[in-house]
Amino acid sequence: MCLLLLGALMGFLPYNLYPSRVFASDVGSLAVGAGIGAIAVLGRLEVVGIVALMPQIMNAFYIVASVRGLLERRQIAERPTVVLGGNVIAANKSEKAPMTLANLILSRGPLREPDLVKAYAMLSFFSFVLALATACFMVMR
Amino acid sequence: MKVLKYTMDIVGIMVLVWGLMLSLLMVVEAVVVNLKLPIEGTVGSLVNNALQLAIGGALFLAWLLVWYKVTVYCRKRRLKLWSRGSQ
Repeated sequence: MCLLLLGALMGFLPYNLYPSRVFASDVGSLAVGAGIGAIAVLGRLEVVGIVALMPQIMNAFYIVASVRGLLERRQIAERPTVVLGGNVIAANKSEKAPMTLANLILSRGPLREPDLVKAYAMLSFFSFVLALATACFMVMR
Repeated sequence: MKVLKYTMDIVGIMVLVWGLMLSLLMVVEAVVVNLKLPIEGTVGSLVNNALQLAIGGALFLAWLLVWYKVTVYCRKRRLKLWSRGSQ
Protein backbone atom coordinates (compact mmCIF):
# COMPACT_ATOMS: atom_id res chain seq x y z
CA MET A 1 0.00 0.00 0.00
CA CYS A 2 2.92 2.34 0.83
CA LEU A 3 4.55 1.57 -2.51
CA LEU A 4 1.28 2.21 -4.38
CA LEU A 5 0.89 5.60 -2.71
CA LEU A 6 4.57 6.45 -3.21
CA GLY A 7 4.40 5.50 -6.92
CA ALA A 8 1.30 7.65 -7.49
CA LEU A 9 2.89 10.63 -5.69
CA MET A 10 6.20 10.28 -7.54
CA GLY A 11 4.28 10.29 -10.83
CA PHE A 12 2.49 13.46 -9.75
CA LEU A 13 5.60 15.25 -8.42
CA PRO A 14 7.07 16.51 -11.77
CA TYR A 15 3.77 18.27 -12.54
CA ASN A 16 3.41 19.70 -9.02
CA LEU A 17 6.98 21.01 -8.58
CA TYR A 18 7.34 24.80 -8.61
CA PRO A 19 6.04 26.37 -10.87
CA SER A 20 3.13 23.91 -10.62
CA ARG A 21 1.16 22.94 -13.71
CA VAL A 22 -1.26 20.62 -11.87
CA PHE A 23 -2.67 21.10 -8.35
CA ALA A 24 -3.82 18.25 -6.12
CA SER A 25 -6.53 20.39 -4.45
CA ASP A 26 -8.92 18.82 -1.90
CA VAL A 27 -9.51 15.68 -3.97
CA GLY A 28 -5.80 14.84 -4.04
CA SER A 29 -4.87 15.94 -0.51
CA LEU A 30 -7.84 14.22 1.16
CA ALA A 31 -7.14 11.00 -0.77
CA VAL A 32 -3.45 11.06 0.22
CA GLY A 33 -4.41 11.82 3.85
CA ALA A 34 -6.88 8.92 3.86
CA GLY A 35 -4.20 6.64 2.37
CA ILE A 36 -1.64 7.62 5.03
CA GLY A 37 -4.29 7.21 7.74
CA ALA A 38 -5.19 3.73 6.47
CA ILE A 39 -1.50 2.73 6.39
CA ALA A 40 -1.08 3.97 9.98
CA VAL A 41 -4.14 2.05 11.24
CA LEU A 42 -3.39 -1.18 9.32
CA GLY A 43 0.28 -1.06 10.38
CA ARG A 44 -0.66 -0.29 14.01
CA LEU A 45 1.38 2.90 13.78
CA GLU A 46 -1.28 5.44 14.79
CA VAL A 47 0.96 7.57 17.05
CA VAL A 48 3.80 7.47 14.50
CA GLY A 49 1.29 8.51 11.80
CA ILE A 50 0.11 11.45 13.90
CA VAL A 51 3.71 12.60 14.42
CA ALA A 52 4.52 12.15 10.70
CA LEU A 53 1.54 14.34 9.75
CA MET A 54 2.36 16.99 12.36
CA PRO A 55 2.66 20.01 9.97
CA GLN A 56 -0.79 19.24 8.50
CA ILE A 57 -2.30 18.61 11.95
CA MET A 58 -0.71 21.84 13.25
CA ASN A 59 -2.21 23.76 10.33
CA ALA A 60 -5.72 22.35 10.94
CA PHE A 61 -5.48 22.91 14.72
CA TYR A 62 -4.33 26.53 14.32
CA ILE A 63 -7.21 27.34 11.95
CA VAL A 64 -9.87 25.74 14.18
CA ALA A 65 -8.42 27.34 17.34
CA SER A 66 -7.98 30.83 15.86
CA VAL A 67 -11.40 31.11 14.15
CA ARG A 68 -13.08 29.30 17.09
CA GLY A 69 -14.72 26.45 15.17
CA LEU A 70 -15.10 24.77 11.80
CA LEU A 71 -15.92 27.59 9.39
CA GLU A 72 -16.15 27.64 5.61
CA ARG A 73 -13.68 29.78 3.68
CA ARG A 74 -16.30 32.43 2.81
CA GLN A 75 -17.25 32.76 6.51
CA ILE A 76 -13.71 33.91 7.37
CA ALA A 77 -13.39 37.64 6.69
CA GLU A 78 -9.60 37.85 6.28
CA ARG A 79 -7.06 35.71 4.44
CA PRO A 80 -4.06 34.34 6.40
CA THR A 81 -1.52 35.57 3.84
CA VAL A 82 -1.14 38.55 1.50
CA VAL A 83 0.46 38.38 -1.96
CA LEU A 84 2.78 41.39 -2.30
CA GLY A 85 3.62 40.88 -5.96
CA GLY A 86 6.81 39.67 -7.56
CA ASN A 87 6.11 36.19 -6.17
CA VAL A 88 6.50 37.43 -2.57
CA ILE A 89 4.00 36.37 0.11
CA ALA A 90 3.59 37.96 3.56
CA ALA A 91 1.62 37.09 6.67
CA ASN A 92 -1.59 38.99 7.32
CA LYS A 93 -0.91 40.83 10.60
CA SER A 94 -4.61 41.40 11.35
CA GLU A 95 -6.01 39.88 14.55
CA LYS A 96 -9.02 38.67 12.51
CA ALA A 97 -6.84 36.69 10.10
CA PRO A 98 -6.84 32.95 10.81
CA MET A 99 -3.56 31.56 12.09
CA THR A 100 -2.27 28.95 9.66
CA LEU A 101 1.11 27.29 9.29
CA ALA A 102 1.90 29.57 6.32
CA ASN A 103 0.91 32.60 8.42
CA LEU A 104 3.15 31.39 11.24
CA ILE A 105 6.14 30.81 8.94
CA LEU A 106 5.67 34.21 7.30
CA SER A 107 5.23 36.02 10.65
CA ARG A 108 9.05 36.40 10.63
CA GLY A 109 8.82 38.37 7.36
CA PRO A 110 7.80 38.01 3.71
CA LEU A 111 9.19 35.13 1.65
CA ARG A 112 9.28 34.19 -2.02
CA GLU A 113 6.92 31.32 -2.88
CA PRO A 114 9.71 28.76 -3.53
CA ASP A 115 11.25 29.60 -0.14
CA LEU A 116 7.88 29.10 1.57
CA VAL A 117 7.63 25.68 -0.11
CA LYS A 118 11.17 24.91 1.15
CA ALA A 119 10.11 25.90 4.69
CA TYR A 120 7.14 23.50 4.47
CA ALA A 121 9.43 20.76 3.15
CA MET A 122 11.86 21.39 6.02
CA LEU A 123 9.06 21.10 8.60
CA SER A 124 7.86 17.87 6.91
CA PHE A 125 11.41 16.52 7.12
CA PHE A 126 11.61 17.34 10.85
CA SER A 127 8.26 15.63 11.45
CA PHE A 128 9.64 12.58 9.58
CA VAL A 129 12.67 12.55 11.93
CA LEU A 130 10.35 12.84 14.97
CA ALA A 131 8.16 10.03 13.59
CA LEU A 132 11.25 7.80 13.23
CA ALA A 133 12.28 8.68 16.80
CA THR A 134 8.74 7.82 17.99
CA ALA A 135 8.83 4.46 16.18
CA CYS A 136 12.25 3.64 17.74
CA PHE A 137 10.96 4.71 21.18
CA MET A 138 7.88 2.47 20.84
CA VAL A 139 9.98 -0.52 19.73
CA MET A 140 12.41 -0.04 22.66
CA ARG A 141 9.54 -0.01 25.16
CA MET B 1 19.93 29.51 5.63
CA LYS B 2 17.14 32.09 5.42
CA VAL B 3 14.53 29.31 5.37
CA LEU B 4 16.19 27.69 8.40
CA LYS B 5 15.91 31.00 10.31
CA TYR B 6 12.20 31.13 9.46
CA THR B 7 11.49 27.56 10.62
CA MET B 8 13.63 27.12 13.76
CA ASP B 9 10.97 28.48 16.17
CA ILE B 10 8.32 26.25 14.59
CA VAL B 11 10.60 23.22 14.86
CA GLY B 12 10.96 24.12 18.54
CA ILE B 13 7.16 24.15 18.91
CA MET B 14 6.98 20.78 17.11
CA VAL B 15 9.56 19.22 19.44
CA LEU B 16 7.80 20.65 22.52
CA VAL B 17 4.37 19.40 21.37
CA TRP B 18 5.84 15.99 20.48
CA GLY B 19 7.60 15.65 23.85
CA LEU B 20 4.48 16.70 25.75
CA MET B 21 2.35 14.27 23.72
CA LEU B 22 4.63 11.32 24.49
CA SER B 23 4.87 12.28 28.19
CA LEU B 24 1.09 12.59 28.36
CA LEU B 25 0.56 9.20 26.70
CA MET B 26 2.98 7.64 29.20
CA VAL B 27 1.19 9.29 32.15
CA VAL B 28 -2.19 8.07 30.84
CA GLU B 29 -0.81 4.54 30.34
CA ALA B 30 0.90 4.38 33.75
CA VAL B 31 -1.52 6.27 36.00
CA VAL B 32 -4.94 6.97 34.46
CA VAL B 33 -5.54 3.49 32.99
CA ASN B 34 -4.54 1.80 36.28
CA LEU B 35 -6.74 4.09 38.38
CA LYS B 36 -9.07 2.00 40.57
CA LEU B 37 -11.62 3.52 42.96
CA PRO B 38 -12.58 1.45 46.05
CA ILE B 39 -16.24 1.21 44.94
CA GLU B 40 -17.67 -2.18 43.96
CA GLY B 41 -20.43 -3.03 41.47
CA THR B 42 -21.78 -1.46 38.29
CA VAL B 43 -21.92 2.03 39.80
CA GLY B 44 -18.31 1.76 40.90
CA SER B 45 -17.22 0.67 37.45
CA LEU B 46 -19.20 3.50 35.86
CA VAL B 47 -17.73 6.12 38.21
CA ASN B 48 -14.25 4.70 37.70
CA ASN B 49 -14.53 4.85 33.90
CA ALA B 50 -16.05 8.35 34.01
CA LEU B 51 -13.18 9.55 36.23
CA GLN B 52 -10.60 8.04 33.86
CA LEU B 53 -12.30 9.74 30.92
CA ALA B 54 -12.46 13.08 32.73
CA ILE B 55 -8.78 12.98 33.77
CA GLY B 56 -7.70 11.89 30.27
CA GLY B 57 -9.85 14.60 28.67
CA ALA B 58 -8.54 17.29 31.04
CA LEU B 59 -4.93 16.31 30.27
CA PHE B 60 -5.68 16.38 26.52
CA LEU B 61 -7.28 19.84 26.77
CA ALA B 62 -4.35 21.13 28.85
CA TRP B 63 -1.97 19.84 26.16
CA LEU B 64 -3.94 21.63 23.41
CA LEU B 65 -4.05 24.84 25.48
CA VAL B 66 -0.28 24.81 26.08
CA TRP B 67 0.29 24.18 22.35
CA TYR B 68 -1.97 27.08 21.34
CA LYS B 69 -0.60 29.55 23.91
CA VAL B 70 3.02 28.78 22.97
CA THR B 71 2.19 29.28 19.27
CA VAL B 72 0.37 32.58 19.86
CA TYR B 73 3.31 33.86 21.96
CA CYS B 74 5.78 32.71 19.29
CA ARG B 75 3.78 34.40 16.49
CA LYS B 76 3.59 37.70 18.39
CA ARG B 77 7.35 37.63 19.05
CA ARG B 78 8.07 36.86 15.38
CA LEU B 79 5.78 39.68 14.21
CA LYS B 80 7.66 42.08 16.54
CA LEU B 81 11.00 40.93 15.11
CA TRP B 82 9.64 41.44 11.59
CA SER B 83 8.45 44.98 12.45
CA ARG B 84 11.82 45.82 14.03
CA GLY B 85 13.65 44.42 11.03
CA SER B 86 11.62 46.41 8.51
CA GLN B 87 12.15 49.76 10.33
